[in-house]
Amino acid sequence: MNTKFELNDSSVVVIVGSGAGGGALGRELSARGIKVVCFEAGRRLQLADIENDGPKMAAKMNWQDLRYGEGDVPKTNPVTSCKTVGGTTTHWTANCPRFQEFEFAALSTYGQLDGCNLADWPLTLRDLSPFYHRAEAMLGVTGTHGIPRLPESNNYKVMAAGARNIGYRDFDTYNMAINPVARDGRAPCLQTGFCSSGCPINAKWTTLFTHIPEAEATGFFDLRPECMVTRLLTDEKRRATGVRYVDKDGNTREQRARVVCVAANVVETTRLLLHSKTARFPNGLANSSDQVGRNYMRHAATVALGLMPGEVHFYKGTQTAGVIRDEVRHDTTRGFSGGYQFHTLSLGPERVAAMMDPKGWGKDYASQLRKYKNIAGIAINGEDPPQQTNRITLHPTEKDKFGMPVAVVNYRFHKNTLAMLKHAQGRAEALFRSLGATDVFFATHFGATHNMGTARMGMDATTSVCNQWGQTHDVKNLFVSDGSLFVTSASANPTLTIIALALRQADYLAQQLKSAAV
Amino acid sequence: MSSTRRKFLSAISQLTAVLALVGCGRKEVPAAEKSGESDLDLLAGVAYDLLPFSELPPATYLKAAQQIMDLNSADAVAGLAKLREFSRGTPWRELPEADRLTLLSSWQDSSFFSVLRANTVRALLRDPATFAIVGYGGPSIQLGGYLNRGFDDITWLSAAQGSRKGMSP
Repeated sequence: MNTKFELNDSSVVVIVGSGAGGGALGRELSARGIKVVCFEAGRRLQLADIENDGPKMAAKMNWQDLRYGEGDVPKTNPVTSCKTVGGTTTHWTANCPRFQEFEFAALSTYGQLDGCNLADWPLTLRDLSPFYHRAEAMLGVTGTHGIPRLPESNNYKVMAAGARNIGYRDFDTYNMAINPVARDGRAPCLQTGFCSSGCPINAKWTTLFTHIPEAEATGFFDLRPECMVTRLLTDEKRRATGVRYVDKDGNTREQRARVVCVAANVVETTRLLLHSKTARFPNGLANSSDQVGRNYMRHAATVALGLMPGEVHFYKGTQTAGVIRDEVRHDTTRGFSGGYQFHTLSLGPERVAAMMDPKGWGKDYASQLRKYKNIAGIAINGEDPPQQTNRITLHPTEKDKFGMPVAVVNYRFHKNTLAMLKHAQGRAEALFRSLGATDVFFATHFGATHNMGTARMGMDATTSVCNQWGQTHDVKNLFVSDGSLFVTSASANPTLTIIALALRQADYLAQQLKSAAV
Repeated sequence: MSSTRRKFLSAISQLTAVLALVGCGRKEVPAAEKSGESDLDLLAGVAYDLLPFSELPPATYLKAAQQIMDLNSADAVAGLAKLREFSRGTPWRELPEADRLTLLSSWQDSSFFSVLRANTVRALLRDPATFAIVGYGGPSIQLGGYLNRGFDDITWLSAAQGSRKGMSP
């Protein structure tokens, strides 16, 4: 259905972004008969556009606009995110762990860490559980709702065997939003090995082929691809009134709105809030706390590659369907607070070459690359504590083609993160060596795909940006609906929690609209 | 000839001419005029030294060389001039291997070298001709994925695991 709402229709809910948060929220609201205009900066791909080709798909899906990194992140491309309908759910590898109960209460559990800005979430696992449950059903998450787990790939079998050897007990092929069997009109996984390039058979869940068309079918959802929102508009009464955007033909337009929800992924959400400053909001929108852009978190992340004594062919099969959960706990005898998980990871030869030696060349290097087939891969994903100084800011002078200041991502590893990474690397190395690995390689400095924390939730408007519903403390009809809301990062991949929060927000927002509270 | 290539070649000939005039007091004619080897062949030869896979046909290395030429970067232009100066008209592959590798090693930290290296590795490892050599299956959707083509066929694992049973954590 090709629904179009008028630019001056001030009864619509505007959502900026069509990924995990925006897509889920848009579907929920439109299903309730609430008019939604959803802006997406990127274009809309069809299933036929999706190929088994990493570089080509990155060119089609990734956010390519300039961003700067400062500190322990790459100087350019400090973040990997997507600019396409479906957002980063086109690129994600579909891991769907829930947070643990203690991870919602990091401050109470760990105590404040040196130089950190730890806080407890304003909600608990119990509050979010019903929404996790609904999200898992929507996404068809394996290991939930009676959905079987995915089969064990070679790479998983290596990790599981090593895990057994070093005494781990809690491992399986993970909770994945990838169909092991046909479900909900989506095909079963063929183990193509290109999850992060988009799934060409739609076995991997993405809002692009589920929530977006479902929302459109309601007749209450107006999707505007290739429309870049450049400013959130507010009035003298401290209300959001709409958004300014540039359409695909370069025309600048304004869409009126009753409510505005920003779900543009952390860097762009932050950039929009900071850039939309006015005389009333001189420090950026919803930023009276000065927390917008601060507490930026990635994850404590490392990739470990083991050169195994036999062939693995780890590129065959889902890239990340395998987990070890034994280290997901708070136990300071390990030398750090919070926990981490291991999951399987496969990479193509080009990325493996860069990991083995980013400057390598010559005969020895070529011989090394011939062992690609023997490589097994594990990724480590651990809790990264919030620090005020890890923040996303606007470049003082440099602007993009829309006249918006370029984002600068400032990030430095906390010593807790470094201690965790050291521990995790030691365990990963022991795991691979227990099976006779002859070499183990690590990479830690890469652009993050997990971005969290720059508009965090909290009870106190002086130390947080949003309340527990994602509603900004300063502007009642302005909401944040993506990973920016996260108070802490936990050790879990963020998407399922983003969706659960969006579902919870949709219930609240529908109620607020009904009672004319916003 | 593309305008990019024209610009590139013109820049090369200017540079090599300058180098020949000021360079090291040698009296040879500008190298580019003397050499029978094209820029493309020269770069392909260097690409081979950077990532030698004897199974690959010359065409694969020529393709990598072309990608470097297409960059038309100042680094590539200057670097190619240096290569020409060094080879003095002898085709790259006919120079003694030890000399070639010594020269490349001495350039390891230069920006030209990193352009050469990065583009060679990228071009080769994205080329299906290289996949079989490193044991990579590549794109699979057109073949039905790896579901029935070995995604779970590992055989050596039980032995490796069995031999280390009882290892403490």
